[in-house]
Amino acid sequence: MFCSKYYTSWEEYRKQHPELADKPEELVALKIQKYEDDLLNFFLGLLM
Amino acid sequence: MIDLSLLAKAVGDLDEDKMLELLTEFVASNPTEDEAQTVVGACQKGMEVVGDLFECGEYFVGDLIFAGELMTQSMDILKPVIGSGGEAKAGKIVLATVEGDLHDIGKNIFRSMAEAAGFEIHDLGIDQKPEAFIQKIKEVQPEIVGMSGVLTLALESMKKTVEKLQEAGLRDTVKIIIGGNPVTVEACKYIGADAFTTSAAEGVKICQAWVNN
Amino acid sequence: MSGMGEQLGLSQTSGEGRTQLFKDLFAGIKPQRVPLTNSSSVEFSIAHAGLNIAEVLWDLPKLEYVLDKACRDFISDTVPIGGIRIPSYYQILGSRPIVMSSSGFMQHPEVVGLLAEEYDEFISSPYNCIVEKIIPRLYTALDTEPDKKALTLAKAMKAYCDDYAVLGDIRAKLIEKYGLASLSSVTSEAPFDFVADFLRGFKGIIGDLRRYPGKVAAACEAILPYLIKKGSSPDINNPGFVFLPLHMAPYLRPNDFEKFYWPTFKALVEAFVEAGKTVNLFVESDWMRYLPYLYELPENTVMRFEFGEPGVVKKELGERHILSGFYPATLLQTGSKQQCLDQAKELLEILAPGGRYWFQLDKQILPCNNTEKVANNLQAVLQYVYDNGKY
Repeated sequence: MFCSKYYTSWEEYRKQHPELADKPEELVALKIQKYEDDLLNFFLGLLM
Repeated sequence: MIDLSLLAKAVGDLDEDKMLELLTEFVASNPTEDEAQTVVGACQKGMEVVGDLFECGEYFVGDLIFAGELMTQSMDILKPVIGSGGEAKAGKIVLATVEGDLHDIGKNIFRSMAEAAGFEIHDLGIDQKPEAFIQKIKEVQPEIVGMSGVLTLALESMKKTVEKLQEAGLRDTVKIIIGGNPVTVEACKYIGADAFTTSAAEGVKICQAWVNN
Repeated sequence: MSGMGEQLGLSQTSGEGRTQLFKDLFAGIKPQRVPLTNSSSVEFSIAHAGLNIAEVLWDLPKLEYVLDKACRDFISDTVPIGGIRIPSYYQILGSRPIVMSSSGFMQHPEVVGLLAEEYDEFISSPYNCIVEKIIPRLYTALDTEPDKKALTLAKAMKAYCDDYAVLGDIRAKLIEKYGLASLSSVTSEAPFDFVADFLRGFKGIIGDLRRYPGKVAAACEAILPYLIKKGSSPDINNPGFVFLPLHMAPYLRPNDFEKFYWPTFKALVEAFVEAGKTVNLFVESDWMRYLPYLYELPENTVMRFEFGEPGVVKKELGERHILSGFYPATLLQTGSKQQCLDQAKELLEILAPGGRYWFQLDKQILPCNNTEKVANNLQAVLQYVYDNGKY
């Protein structure tokens, strides 16, 4: 949905990082994706 | 020869393409300064129509802003052929958004309409202290001072500015008009201005009445 | 009997009781009494506390004293923080669109973040365009070589997170200490306002409507999913709301509003409501000609009006939506105490019946030269609404 080189969805990130295969996916996803979304929201907030 | 009524209509209709077409053709025809002045007059007539249509609720604030842009463009195109003499100015106005307030849309609409009506505008910009007003008033000796603001704190700055003008012995040398969202008849009394308006077109009419008396 | 609060035996001045007021309000249920909020801006509260605005905004822990005094002096069901702009990260980023004026008040002068020739770029990937063009243009400290840019952004985000953590702590302390409603909120924006405010500017968007109307519409559609995302995280609790400060509509021609503003604004509100959230609109300026559109928004949308005729709005929208505002903040500055109370009485009589009414002023109270007068009037008005807003 957010077609941008600056936004990575969790699915894309997981593909790029096979070393996470044996890690607790739900917890890692929550954390990693939170910061992706935090930065997106920070930039949008700077434009409001 | 340019069709002046067509030009006035284009401005009044906010038809940018038509206005640009007519003006570009006109300038290319190597007109005299006098002919250029009549063209300026036609643009001003178009602006009056814009003001009237806003007053009767057919045009909206966005239309006034666009009209201001059209006037700026038309003056830029006509500058090479207008000459330095120009029409006698209707009067001089020192204009600014007052201290503490950074809004300028309304002020800019008023400026465009006042310039179109033949006033010479000295626009100080936004967030202007009373001292900036005083300095400019001493320099250009305007007939009118316009103060603009959108935030309620602007009312206090307007009052402070009027008081400083009084202290500087300048209050009686000018007429003061205030404009913006929070201005009301009570605010006008509180501030000590001569008139208030929330409509740029009405503001211009008030200024015209002052300079014609 | 009104609302769940009374049934649950909740005190009207306890945190739980007050929170229940808002749970009822947002569900369209008549609460125990009219919920009320002290509409002081942070800047006014700072002035009321006798402190300097810039000093407090640059040293946020001082805000605890300021807001504690506001809570003591003025009855309110919610923490009296309206919108706040914290200068630290704006300064670090070299902000052009948000600056501190000479009065210490943070404001938004007219800027252009997106050039007309960049519309296609924005439409094809808004986030690419935001990162590469718009942000560096508006936040000048990011318009620099990559390494410096990375460090500046890191500092700004750290300042932002630190300052909002301080704010969050202060809010939590006051909610606990004064038994205030625990309301969570997140902010987003109508797509047209987003494209107008910081990107094309007021003047720019008006010209664009005539010169490139297709691009304006496409830009609104392109940014819509991002604005849905913005209003979706952090996830808000119940009671909570997505706050949308509305801006450009009153300045547009009605048919421009219908074609360009309305579709994506409606879609945004519907997306939030579908996700189970309440939407809280600041209906700035005059929307009276758009009441039929507002009616169409999902039921129980909160609408705080700046200008308008409360009687007409109550009639047209009052059985479907939650109304607020209308009380002129300037009256506290220019009016006598009796005039201020009379205005409160009038609005309660018009807007409170049947519920779906939240007492707030038409806008935030800003600092002025007569803080004491405003404070006395505000105190009286809020007490009046508390005493007389019972169902």
